[in-house]
Formats: sequence, C-alpha cells, structure tokens
Amino acid sequence: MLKYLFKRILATIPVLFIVSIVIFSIVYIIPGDPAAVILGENASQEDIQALRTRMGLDEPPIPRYFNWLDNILHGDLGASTANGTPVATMIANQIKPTLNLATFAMLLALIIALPLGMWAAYKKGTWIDQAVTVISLLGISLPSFLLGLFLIMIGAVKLRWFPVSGYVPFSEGIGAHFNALFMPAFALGFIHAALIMRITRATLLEVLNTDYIRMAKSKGVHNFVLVAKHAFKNTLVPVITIIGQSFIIALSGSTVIEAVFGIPGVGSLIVNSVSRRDYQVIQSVVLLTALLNITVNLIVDLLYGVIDPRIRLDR
Amino acid sequence: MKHLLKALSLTFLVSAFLLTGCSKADDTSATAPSTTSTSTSTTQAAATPKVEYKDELHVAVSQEAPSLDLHKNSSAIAREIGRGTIWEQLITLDANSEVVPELAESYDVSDDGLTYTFHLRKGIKFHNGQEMLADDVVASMNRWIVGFSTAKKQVGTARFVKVDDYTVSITLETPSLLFPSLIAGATQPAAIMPASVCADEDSKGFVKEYIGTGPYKFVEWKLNDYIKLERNDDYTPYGDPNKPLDGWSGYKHAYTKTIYLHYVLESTTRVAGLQTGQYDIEFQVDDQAYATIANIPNLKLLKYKSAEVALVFNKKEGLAADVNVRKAIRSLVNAEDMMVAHSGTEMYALSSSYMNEGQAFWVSNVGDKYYNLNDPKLAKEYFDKAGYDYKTPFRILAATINNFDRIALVLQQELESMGVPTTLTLVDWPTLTQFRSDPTKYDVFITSFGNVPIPTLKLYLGATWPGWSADQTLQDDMLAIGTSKTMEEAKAAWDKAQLYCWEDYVPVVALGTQYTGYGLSDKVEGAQLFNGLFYWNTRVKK
Repeated sequence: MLKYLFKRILATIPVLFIVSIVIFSIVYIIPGDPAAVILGENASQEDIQALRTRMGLDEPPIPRYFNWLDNILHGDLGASTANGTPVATMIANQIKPTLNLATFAMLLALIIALPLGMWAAYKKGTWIDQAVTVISLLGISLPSFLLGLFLIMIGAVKLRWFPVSGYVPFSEGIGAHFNALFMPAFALGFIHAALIMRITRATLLEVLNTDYIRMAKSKGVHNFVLVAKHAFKNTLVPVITIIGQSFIIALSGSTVIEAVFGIPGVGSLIVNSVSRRDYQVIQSVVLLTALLNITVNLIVDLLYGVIDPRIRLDR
Repeated sequence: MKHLLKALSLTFLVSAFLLTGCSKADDTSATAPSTTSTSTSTTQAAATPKVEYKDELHVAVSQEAPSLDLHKNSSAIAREIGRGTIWEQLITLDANSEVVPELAESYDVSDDGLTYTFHLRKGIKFHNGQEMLADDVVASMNRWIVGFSTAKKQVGTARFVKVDDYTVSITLETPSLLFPSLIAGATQPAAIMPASVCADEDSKGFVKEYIGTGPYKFVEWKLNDYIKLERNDDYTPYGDPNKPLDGWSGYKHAYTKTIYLHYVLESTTRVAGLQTGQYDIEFQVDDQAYATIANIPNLKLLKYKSAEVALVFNKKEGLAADVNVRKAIRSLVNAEDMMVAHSGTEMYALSSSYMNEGQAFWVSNVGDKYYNLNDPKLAKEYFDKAGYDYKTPFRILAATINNFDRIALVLQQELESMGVPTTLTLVDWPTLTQFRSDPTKYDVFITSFGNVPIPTLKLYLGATWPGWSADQTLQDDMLAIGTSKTMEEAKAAWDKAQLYCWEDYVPVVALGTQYTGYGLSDKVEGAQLFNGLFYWNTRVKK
C-alpha cells in the first residue's frame, strides 16, 4: 500500500508541472492588461507602462514562468497583482467557504441519493422508481444557478427561513453556519444527487440479479437487510467513483453558486481575479485546484482497496 | 434542530415543486410601484424622538473596487465608497456643481489668475488622531497631480507649496479658470490624507493605509466579501446642521455607526436581499432589477443621470479615419433604439449634449440638428462620398459588460441593413481596455463616460486617449475653454467646440444619457444622491 502511495505521489509531479505550464501559457496569452484595469479610465499610456514595469509584466514569459515556479517550490505563491495581498493568505481565507460548501453539498447529495437510488432499484418498475427517475432527470437537466435563484425566492424571500446570501463562519455558530450554507449546498448538490442516484440504482439492480442475492432471498433474509447490507456493499466501487468525481466537480464548479449566493469562496476569487487579470492569483488557484483533484482521486483509489479486498493496489 | 427542520421542509417543498412543475407568480407584483425618480438630493428626515434607528447600514454593491487609493484609481465604486466618506477634499461641489470649500476655510485667486491660495480649516483631525496641516495637504495634492493624468496635463510642472501650517498655494504656468472645478469634481478625487500615508506606498505605488478626515473610518476590507466602515467620532463637521446636504457639501451627521458594503455579484440576489431586509441599499440597479423593485411595495428607487453613452471612432486608421464614414454613421444611428437596448425603457434620456444636467451650466444643445437622424439615405451619401466599397467590413468593438454588446448588435444590424458588412468583436472589459488602445483592432468602440464637472475632462476629446481626437481645431477650441477669462466666455467656447464636433469632426456619436439606479428599503432615510449615492446622513429605521 505504501509503495503504491509513494508511486502515486511521485506521479503527481509531472502532472502538476504540465498544469503549471498550461495555466501560465493561458494566462500569458489572454488579452487584457492588469495595469490598465488597476489604474482605470483616466490613466495615461505612460502611467500604465510605468505600472507594468513596476509589476514585472514587461519581462519575457520564460524567465517569468521559472521565477514563478521557483517561488512556488519555495512555498511562496506571490502577491496579488491587484492589491498586493499574499496569494497564500487570499486562498487560505477563501478556501474554507468553498470546502465547507462542497462538503455540505456532497453530504446533502448522499442523503438524498443513496436511499432514493436503493429504493428505486428495490421497487423497480413501480411509481416510486418512476418518481426517482424524474427527480434524477430534473437534477441533471436543471442548471444549478436557476435552482439557486429559485431557492432564494422560496427559502429566503417567501418563507424568510434562510439568508439570501453571504457566508457565516463556523466560529460564529453552527446553526447560523448551516443555515446560511443550506440553500447554496442544496443548489450545488442536487445535480450530484441525481448522478449518484442513477448510478446507485443501476448498480444495485445488477447486484440484485446475482446468484448470492437470490440464494439469500431463498434463505428468507429480510428485504431491508438484503439490500442495505448484502447488496449495497457490492455497489460501492462505482458509487464511490462517482462520489469522488462529484466532489471534484463541486469543488471546482462552485463558482456559479458562490456568485449567486454571495459566498466569498475560491470561485468568487477566481472570477474577480480573471476580471482584474490578477495573474498570480489565477495561476495559484488553478494549480491548487489541480492538486485537490489529484488528492481526491488518490483517496478514492485508496478506498477501493478498503471496500473491496479483491482490489490490490500495490500490484 | 430548528435549522434542520427548516432544511428538511425546504427540501420537501422544492422536491414537491420540481415534481409537479408548478409555478407561482410573486404575489407582490400586483401592487403599485413606489418609484422615486430624481436626480436631486433626497430630503433628510427630521429626527423624531420616537423613531429608533439601526446601528448598521448594509449596502449591496455589484463590483469590488480595484483599490481605494483614490489618487490613482478612477473606478466609480471606489469614488462612491471613499469620496466625502473616508476622505474629504480642499473644495467640493454643491448640488449645482459649483465649487464650495470643504477642508479649506476659503480660497482665493491672484489677479493674474495664476496663483490659487487655500486657507485650511483648523483643528481637523485625521482618523489616526493627527491634525491636518499644510504639509499633509501639499503631499496629498501633489500626489494627486502626479497620479491623475488630467491634472498633470493641466498644471504642467506646477505643484502645491506650503505657505504656513494652515495655508497652501499653487502657481500655475497659465491661468486656468476651471482649476478649482478640476480639484472639486475630479474622477480621481483629490483626497486629503496624512503626508506619512502618501509617502508609504507599496511596490505598485498605492498607499498602504486608508486614512482620511471624513465622517467614516476604514476598518476592514475582506476581499470578495465586504468593506466595513465605522463612524469617526472625532469628525469635525462643517455647514449648518439644520440644513440638508447640498450636493457633496454640508453638514455630515454620520448617524449610522457601522456601514457594510457587501460585494454581491448577482443582481437577482441583491434585489432579493433588499426585499428581505438583509440589505438596506442596492447600488447600481440594472434595468431589469429596476422594473422588479418598482413593483415591490416596501422598496423605493432613486436614479440620476450618471453617464453619456457614445460610439467612439478610431480616427487614427481604418475606415473611420475618413470623416465622411464617421458622418455616415452619425446620420445612420437610431439613438433611441440603441439606448433602449442598452438601458431598458426606464434608465435613459435622449440628449445630444456631451455634458448632462448634472453639470447644468455646460449643457449644450448645439448638436441637436445632427443627433438621432436615423437616415440611411443620408448615410449612404456620406459612405459614397468617402469612396467606400461596401466590401471592407466595419469593425465594431464592445465589452460584454453594462449591455454595450447590445448596442453593438443594433449598430451591426443598422449597418448591414444598408449593405455595410461588419465584424463584431465582443470581449470582456480588461480586453477592451487593451484593444481600444490598438488602432489596428477596430473602427468604432462603444462605451460610456461618467459625469465630469468640466468639459475639458471629457476623455474622448483628448488627443492621446483611445480614438485619438488629435485634431488641431478641436484641441485649440478645448484650450480656449480652459484659458477663458469668464465662465460665459468658457461656455461659448464649449458650445463652439461641441458644434464643431457634431458638424465637422465627429470624434464620437453621443447616443444619450444613462441613469444609474439605486434600490432602497423604505426604512432608509437621508441618502444623498449627487453623482452617486452617499450615506453620510443615512439611517435605517428599526
């Protein structure tokens, strides 16, 4: 296992290196001048040029890239080109809301998806199965921002149960924290609930048709125990895979939901940074997102071995 | 448990809704609009002992300022947050856009019109407790001159100097009647801050601390979240406490203790927050939100004429370098269609004037004859006169913010309907700011220009600003405005310059004036609307 872990960690190095080149190239190629954005409409070309020089934007791309890479390797993510704040501080401040949002969204997705998916498989062909299929189709086809706006209208404007927008840190109260996070998490998690629901149903149906389940049934094992204990365990490998992928998508795709609900997360950070051409922040956030993706994938792979002893990761 | 129940109930409600596909109209939509449409100040509510007010004011804004260093940044949101609130100026503008003293007790001009002397108010404290003295004013004003290219151009090498601890002066190279207006109404405000703050810049040349003399102190900027301001209890107000504010001047009560400016990107969310009372004021209401707010009974709207929308021609190279092509476009455009596309039906006014009612003295209708002609036949005559081949595409450049892209689409349709092929480049704002500086990239770009107190600050009439109005006659006319001896003479020179622009040179096609709107809870009192919304005397009823 340790050997496998070491190999995988080693394999992330070239991936991150390639990602760093790609993101640096994209940022370098896209038009837009951060100096002009910072100085605004009245700035003369001389003032803009002077600021460009001060910001090091006139340097050729290759030395700039290696300079950035060198700093990253020494743990220095640089400072925002827009306001001078260290990028590490900006990310540290804004990753918490995103992580909390994505985690809560996944929890909600699992709470909705697993029981419904199992129920639909067990009641295959009945109205329950059809209702679950409709919910899952809606989840896949409904844009999350539309669902978010709808939730605001119902949960905040009509019922006044939840705040319209904003993020309440955990330190300011658990109730207030989850109250503020519920609607965005639901909007973000619903699509993932739909996906997990479909996979759970399909996989469980396959398992329910296997010989060992038929044998257990003939032995008089209770239906609930049959599905929840014996069958469900064998659906976990594909379900865990989709959960891992969903979590990655929720993390990197929270931008829209963060914008709708005014959450100061990494999504908002990247949107603002792109609109300001804040190169240092864009590069670091994308690199960090890649690292998070790799980590989540690694955790999912390790879980395979735990769930299914037949899978030997170190071979 | 309460929150869990709420969450479960909402989950159930949403699921039920999604399953049944039901939809219910907002039941507030049947009520009458409570719109207050004005470009003047709202009245301050008389204090009644029975009414209780909140300690906090929550404002939802749609964008974050790149920086709050007003000397070096011209973003409207930074001005609305900082001007008169955190920082004050030597002189400011009243509701008629006339110059009045603020941190100066008074100012005088030498007989030759070259030397301006400002006598400072005594006992004014900065937020750090330090008294404002001439050294601070000199450092601030000279930093402002260097940071604000228009001021730098106007004063040349002249700089402010200290006369004594409470007097400063500047001697210009040539007389400039409009110099006080430039200081009072600059789009990069001449904020007064401590000399030590001016000297302590970061590597990009921005101040590290936000310290002024205004009624509110800067406390915290949580990026992508909010800016927090707190009342400056050592503030020394000026003016009559019993009179309402007059433009940007007058007695600032600073009724509310804490002000939060929340950054909320999505317009629908801002309106919903206003509706639920999470926010008290919404900045920069767009046309759709304006219509929504007008139908909600406990909300009110304010709007003012904030900017001029214009097609700016590239006069350096390409098709529009030919004046007849510019005249063809001037004759072709339907300004009303374009303004409706841009601002909706409620948020624009048609006008040929380059300056709007916000600067009433400078309003000029000399261009009416050439405005909003919508005459394709005349346009064709000009295209023919230019020898245009009807094959070379006319290149339109616009940003996808503030609905400029919609104007671009209308222009494209108008041109193509008369056989002029076009290419449309729609980009985000940072890309536009880069592309418009490159004369090889476009024939016309579309943008808006915020209010300025004097015509010489009109960016598109500058010889070096994108579009390049480097025409000698125009530049001479603009110079004549600045060097006029009297205001009447200056106005006549401005009329002449504007007529020349509409009739002969056509550097731009002015389409009309756009409004900026604000949504307010009806519990909000004393919001001051003058070239932006200011909350020095704002309070919110409990």
